[in-house]
Order: sequence, then structure tokens, then C-alpha cells
Amino acid sequence: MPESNKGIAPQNADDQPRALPARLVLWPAARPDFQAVRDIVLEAEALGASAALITGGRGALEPLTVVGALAPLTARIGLLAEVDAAETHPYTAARRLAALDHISGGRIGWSLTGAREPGRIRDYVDAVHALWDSWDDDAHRFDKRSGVYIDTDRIAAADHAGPFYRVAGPLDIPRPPQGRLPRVGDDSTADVSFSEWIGVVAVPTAWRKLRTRFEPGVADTAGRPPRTLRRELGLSDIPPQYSNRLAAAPNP
Amino acid sequence: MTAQDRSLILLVNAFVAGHHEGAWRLPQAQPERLRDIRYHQEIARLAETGGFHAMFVADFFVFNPGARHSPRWELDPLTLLSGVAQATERLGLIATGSATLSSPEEIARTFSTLDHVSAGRALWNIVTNGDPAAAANFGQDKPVPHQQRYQIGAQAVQEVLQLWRKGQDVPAPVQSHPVLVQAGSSSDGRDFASRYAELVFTAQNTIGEAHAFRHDLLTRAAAHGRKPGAVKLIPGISPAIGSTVEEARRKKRDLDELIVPEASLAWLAGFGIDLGAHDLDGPLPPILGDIDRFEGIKSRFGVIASVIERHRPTTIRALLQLLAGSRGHASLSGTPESIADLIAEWFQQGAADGFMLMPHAFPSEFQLFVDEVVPLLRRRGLLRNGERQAGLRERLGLPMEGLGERI
Repeated sequence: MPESNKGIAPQNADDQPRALPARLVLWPAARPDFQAVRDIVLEAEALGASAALITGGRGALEPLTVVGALAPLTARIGLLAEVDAAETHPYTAARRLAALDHISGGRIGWSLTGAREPGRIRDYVDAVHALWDSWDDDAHRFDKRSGVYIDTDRIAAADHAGPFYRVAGPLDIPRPPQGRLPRVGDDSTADVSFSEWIGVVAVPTAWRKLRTRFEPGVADTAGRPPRTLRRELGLSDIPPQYSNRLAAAPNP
Repeated sequence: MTAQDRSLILLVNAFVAGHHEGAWRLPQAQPERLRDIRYHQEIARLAETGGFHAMFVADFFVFNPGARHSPRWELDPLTLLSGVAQATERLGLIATGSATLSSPEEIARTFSTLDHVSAGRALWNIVTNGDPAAAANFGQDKPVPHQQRYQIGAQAVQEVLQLWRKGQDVPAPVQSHPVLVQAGSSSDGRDFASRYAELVFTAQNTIGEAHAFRHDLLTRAAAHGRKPGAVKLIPGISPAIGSTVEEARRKKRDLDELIVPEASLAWLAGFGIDLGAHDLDGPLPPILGDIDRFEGIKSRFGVIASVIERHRPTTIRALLQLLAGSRGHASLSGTPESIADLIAEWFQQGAADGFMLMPHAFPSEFQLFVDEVVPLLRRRGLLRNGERQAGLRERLGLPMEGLGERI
């Protein structure tokens, strides 16, 4: 079981029925099975689930790549990927999460595992944020006439040097639509806690038991335009100009 | 494997708006869609229906300031290709993974996952990074020296293969293992390729050079005990296509006019050739750079030097235009017939097992190749029919067991 999600127990079928909070944590099955994960996520989306976190672990599929496959197959559900700090460098996490946020229209979030030392989570998250903030939101010009594609003056190095991670930057992927992607976790700096998430092992039988507890009509997603995951989780939008340079600028 | 058994391999390097630096400024170019997965899915479906075997996405792990004047990748290869997998059924998906910037565990897990989400269509382009800026993004003080990079690459390949074979720490792939791909023509690069690579990308300008390279590669591979046909040489090709040669040349000239010179200078600087301080309309400096002190991509440095030797551009601007469309790969302007002739000649004479197409512009010039050149290749029997049902390794003519237990 991933360290960061240990507070979530799998639900027993005979628990008292109640409307699900509709935020799912999908734990890897014993045998990696992308089709099963895909079918569960597609059905959860149809039932009105707001988000699904794909976790990894020993022998499991790599969550960022799984989410890359799920993003074009879905339209509304928020998709979160568990990142293993012991295996994935902040630069890789920042660029892949940013790319996922672009192709999904801002539906991506993440969780972080594998950071054991105190302060490592904070340092990792700071490095990822510095990379996302290394581009301004509106750096593209697309000016075919003058030949200016991107205003590179709106991009600057991240220069993150923390106790555990050093990242030069800037990122090679434009700032994600959500600015800073929401992170779910049980540490104090997470954007969302795990308290309203429900865990299920990503095998069809476990899912069939759980899905009956989605109350019909709970889903209010039909017909409304998709939202960003930040909105879906009740978080405020990040101010559009949250770049590290602007934040560091002296107050007038 | 006899010549009759060989089937031409067609790959496409799906670089953003096209391989010509000016392509994004064409009226029909769609640079606003580079972060839209449907744009890449459309190119992939065109490749798949057009008889192509795989789509390649390069990766440099670093922001390129040349993006001021010409787009670079705005999605990482694994995100892009896992998304493309959902819109295709047969197309191979070649992603880049770095042995110096990622651990064997991360590469093994990620590429096995790409293999799972594509039902067995993953290829791993093995790179090692000499770019100091890329190293700095991953907390490294300086890049691994050129000499050590192939040792690290070899060790990484062995560890990744072992992780895949065990299937305990990372999931076992769907294929025996993702197809191993490598680019590089230096002496160390050739030795590495002949041991581990199943597809070898290369920039070759003449049929003679390509033939000699392929002969050397296959000889070395045989010495390492590899089966005939287990290694394929895939040169890059970046053609301008017109209904007449004159029209093709005019199209290339029109694209050249769209180049902002600063963009090409930035690209050359990435290969260790810094001409920024010189007059664009002045002569080339006698010494481009010191290859022995350069830790970047050595093989490309040599290719650029050979382009200069053959074409002898009189000004820096003329050199930039020579390199603009093809980035040092075989460049030609011709009719569909003459391009099909060249492909057939290189293939049949044993100078290539297939080609990596680098279209000047997406989607327009890629569509033109699929519509006008591919049917000629089919008519000549170079592209096998009836291979729709076979798996990726069968379509590529590679051993089902990959490198097997040998490594």
C-alpha cells in the first residue's frame, strides 16, 4: 500500500450504504491490467465521480503514463497520478504533469510518495512549483508574420536549490492550465487531504461491489462543461501571474 | 535473410509543426494545437493508414531558447505517445528515455507501461545526455563525459532488460521487451548499437557512406552473435516534394524565406557550433569548434562538417539555409517518382533497411508523402501487404524474442 495513502482502507461491501464522496484512489492490482483500470475510470466518470488517483508500487504500472492514456479517453473526471520521489526526479514530474494538464484541459492532480526524510516532500514540491512558475501563462505569441513564436522574455530559470533537490530550469513544457496542480496528501502542505477519498483495488470484482453504492442522481455532471480539477476539489484558482519573478518583485 | 524477405521500414519523426524551421509560419500550419493531443493523434492515424510502422518523439530534457522563433516539443514523449496509443491500433510508438538522467527502474517501469497502454507497441530510444543544461535540470553538476556515456548506457540497458525479464519490481512488458532503438554514428556509438540496438537511426548523406555504415554495423552485430536481420539501419530523409523538381525547389525556397536566422544559430549552438558572433553574410570561420572538447552530440557535428565540405557555402546564411530543412539528414527536392527511386535504390542496394521521414511541414507535407510517394513504394512491392494483423516485431522484421537471454 502506498505510504501516503495509508489512511484509506478498502471499503467492505457490507458497510452502511451511503452516497460516495466520489473521489477514488485506485490501488494497483496484483497483475498489472491497464484495461481494468481504464474500464473502472470510464465507468466512474459516467457515474459522476469527480476524481480518480492512480497509484503505483512494486510491480505496478507507472501512474503518469497510465494517466497519459486515460486523459484523451475521458472528458470530465479529474485524474491524479501518484509520483514516487524515490524513482522520479522533480524535473520529470513537473514536465509530465504539466503535459498531462495541457492534454486534459486542466484535469490533473498528483500525490507524492517515497519521500521519507522530513523536509523532502516540501523540497520536492517547491522544486516542481518553481518549474511550473518558470513560464508566464501567456508566453506564446504564435506570430507568423514577425516570426516570433514564444516571447522568451516571459520564461526564466527556476534555479531551485533545496536541501534535497537542485533544478536549474526553466521547464521545457509551458505552464500548465491550472498553474499549480492540486496535490492530495496527508502532510500539512498538501492542497487536499485524503479524508474524503475512497480506496479500491483496481480489479473488476472489487469495483463492481463499490459501484453499486454510487447513488443515482448524485452526479450533477451531465450537461455542464468540464471544470478544472482545482475547481472540482473546491480550491481557488491560482492567480494567473504567480511567477517566481513576480512574487519576488518588490512591492510598489 | 534474403533481399526478397526484407520489407521496407517507414518511420516518421513527428516533430511539432515540421522539420523545417520556417514550417510553423505557413498559412496551413497549426502551432496553436501543439498541446492538443488530437493534433498528434491525427498525425499518428495518417502514419498508420499511410503504411508507416512507427512514430518517433525525440526528447532533449531542456528548454531550448530557439523556441522564440520556431516551436519545440511542448509535450513530453511518454505523455504524447500514451495518448496517441488510444487513437491507433498498429503504429509503433518510439519514446526517448535517458540512461544518464533516469534510473533503470524508472525507464523499465515507464516503458513497460507504455507497452501495456498500447498493447505491445512500445520502442525505447536509448539516449545519454551530454548537454550541461539538461544535467543541471536533474541536479547534476556537469554532464557525464562522452567516453563514459556509452558504458552507462550499456549498463542501463542490461539492468532494464533484467528488470523486464524478472517482472517483479516493474511489470513485465507485453512484448518480449520494447524494441530498442539508438542513434549515433561515432565509433563508441556503433559498438553500442551493434550489441544492443534493434533499430539504428542515423544521418547519412550519400548512399556510399550509408552502405559502408550498414555493412560495418551488421558485421559487428554478427560478431556479437546476433541473428541476421536483428539490427536495422534507418537513415533520416527530409524531402521537398513537388509535381516537378522545380516546384519542389520552389517550395523549399519559400520555406527558407520564412527562417529567422537567429533560430538556426541557436540550433547549431546546441551541437557546439557557435557562430553568433559572426556576420551572417560573411564567410564561415575556418574552425567551427573543437570536437574533442565538445561533450555534445559528436556524430551530428561530423555530419554538419561534411555538409560544409560537399556544398561549400560561401556565407553563414547560406549554410543555415542548407541545414534548415533537414538538420543535416539526407535532403532532396524531387518529384514523388524521384523520391521513391532514391528510397528503392538505398533499400535494394543494402544502404538502408528503411527510412525515418522528417517532413518539412505537418500535416501538409506528411499528407503529400502518404498520398503521392507511399503508393509508388507499394506498387514496387517494397511495402509488404497483409501485415495488418501481425504484431510490432513481426511488422518490423525483428526477432520475437528481442535480445533474448543473451544479455
